[in-house]
Amino acid sequence: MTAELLLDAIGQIDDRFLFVEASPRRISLRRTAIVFIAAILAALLTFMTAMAVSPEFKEFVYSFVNMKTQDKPPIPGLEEDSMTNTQTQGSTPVHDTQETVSPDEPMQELGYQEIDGMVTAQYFTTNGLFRLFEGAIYTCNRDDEYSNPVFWEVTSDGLVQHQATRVQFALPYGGKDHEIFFDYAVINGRLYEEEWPPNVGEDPFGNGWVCNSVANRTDVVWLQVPVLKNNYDFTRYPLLLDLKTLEVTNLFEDLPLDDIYVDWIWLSDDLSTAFFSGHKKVLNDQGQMGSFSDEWICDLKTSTMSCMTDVIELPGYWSYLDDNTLEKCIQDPDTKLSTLYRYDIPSGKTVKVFEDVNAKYILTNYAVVQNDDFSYWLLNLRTGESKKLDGLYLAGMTVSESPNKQNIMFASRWKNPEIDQFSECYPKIGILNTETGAFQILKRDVKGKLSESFYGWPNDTAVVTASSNGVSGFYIYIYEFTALQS
Amino acid sequence: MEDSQIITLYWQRSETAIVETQSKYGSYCYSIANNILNSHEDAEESVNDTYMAAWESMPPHKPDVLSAFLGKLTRRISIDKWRRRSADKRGGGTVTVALEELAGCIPSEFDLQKEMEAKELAEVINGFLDTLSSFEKEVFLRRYFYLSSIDEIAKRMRISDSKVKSMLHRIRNRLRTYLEKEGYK
Repeated sequence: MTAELLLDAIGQIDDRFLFVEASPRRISLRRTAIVFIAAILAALLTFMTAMAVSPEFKEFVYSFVNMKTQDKPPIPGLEEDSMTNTQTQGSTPVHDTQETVSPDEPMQELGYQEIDGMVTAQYFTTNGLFRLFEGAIYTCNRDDEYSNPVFWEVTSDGLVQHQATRVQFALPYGGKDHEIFFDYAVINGRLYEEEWPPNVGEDPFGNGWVCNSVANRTDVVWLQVPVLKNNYDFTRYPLLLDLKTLEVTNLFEDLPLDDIYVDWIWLSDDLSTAFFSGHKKVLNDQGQMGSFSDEWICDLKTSTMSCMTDVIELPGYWSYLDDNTLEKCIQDPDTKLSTLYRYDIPSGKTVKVFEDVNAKYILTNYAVVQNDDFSYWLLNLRTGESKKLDGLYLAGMTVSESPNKQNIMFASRWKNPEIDQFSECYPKIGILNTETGAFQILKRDVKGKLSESFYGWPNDTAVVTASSNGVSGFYIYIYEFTALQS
Repeated sequence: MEDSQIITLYWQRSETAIVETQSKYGSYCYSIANNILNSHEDAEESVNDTYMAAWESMPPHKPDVLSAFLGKLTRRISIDKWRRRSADKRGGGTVTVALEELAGCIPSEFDLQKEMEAKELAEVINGFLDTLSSFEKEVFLRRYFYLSSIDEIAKRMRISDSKVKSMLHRIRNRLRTYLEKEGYK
């Protein structure tokens, strides 16, 4: 009984002690060989001019500008106040606000304002399901048919409606009919697609097929489809789908995947390179069948592939950063200091970007680093230069980079347990332009029983948050930092 | 999908929340359940119960760390299931062995009347965990939170079975001492 109490108590320890490890660490099945090869590789490995950045904490400073006027967005549950709130001192209402919200409209504008000539804020509400893309918002009705699919183009003049085309058919592949169901629209020469609801239940992890757009192509999408490879093991294939003929082409057709099972796939914009995580079934020394996880990089033009362990033996997993780069961050479990490696796909060379750095956030071109005096610095991963984020309190912040990687959002999250211990919102949203050094912070009056999330960047200077109180639909707020536009 | 987006889907009452949870944390929850129950069918049932419990608790709950929230739910549900399953036929499995091991940590004069609620005891264990090195902490949690077998821990941590056993033995002794120092005599 007492041991059971102890067992139960261990089940209630702090979250900070827990970790997720969904798939087993790769076991060194060829340990002797690998150690030998790794030793040779380590000796031969040409780390490209590894910055191996030791941040120089010089007093270069990013100082932010607080806007004088506070944003007061509509808040679920406080509708009676919200629209008067939007017309705050210093702001210029452009659109008349609506007093009532029709349940039949998939997306309705609630207000618009300019704040201190630096930010334009647009407020919308929807009763439907929605997803955000760079440049567009997708909505559909919350019914069994997911009817009325629409892509809303985000512009400075509001949202422009683009009715979506629905694709629905049975795709026979790998001995099974996959029920394909997605919506798409072409906006400004770019194809946006959304599958709602996501498909489930095909492979052991509950994942079904997934649809992806192809950069600079509006005639095709690619489907990532799980297929039963033997009686009980799944693999995945990338199938290029022609939107006119609905014919598919397996992009992995000629790859030597005999004993390899693909878990997840990333493709480069031009479809010439693939990166996938997967596992290999092999017999171990005791004659038992084992499953070993790894990652592979593939040249689809020559149908050749390399196992990343054979490229360089390092603990942990590689992840796909962009078309030319894989990265791997290894954190020392005791010191919590991070070492970042990047693998350049075209040259096949590995760079140790930095070593033993207290990195709190790692973006594409920058890392947010905490110094010994607890100040935060922005470390340029290309030049090694650091600049202090002056006066910025980062605890509990959401940090995100714009699609072009030039602007970085720092949004502080706030909870007010006196109102509702579960409420969370963004009382401050700041955006830093790393090229010009302009750093502007918008303060927001967001109180109440509010659950707010950051949803991403519709363009390089605009961010979207959305809030709900769980009962009265969704409120979508788009903030465009117009003063940061170059 | 980001955890915050998944939580938002729960708050939207969108069933996609469960789909996304399954996609991101299905195998994680399954491995915990299977460690405890050692049965594919029972583990799957526990994971489904976990999704249902998550659905029922969000809203109003909004976990800070979704993975930890789901891991704890799965563990609790699976242990409850193990207890029900074992009511008729006690014994066997990782949980039984873990319980026997943990029994050695309970100070001999531990007074049942003074037993703390599990939650309060968890606070004491939090303090104890802070005294362990990262490596020891991981070994301890793999064994007694995730209920992994000695063999599995050895493979994952890349050390021998005997090393795991001796390390766990030493940690349990330290836990016993720690509990005594905290007043459990």
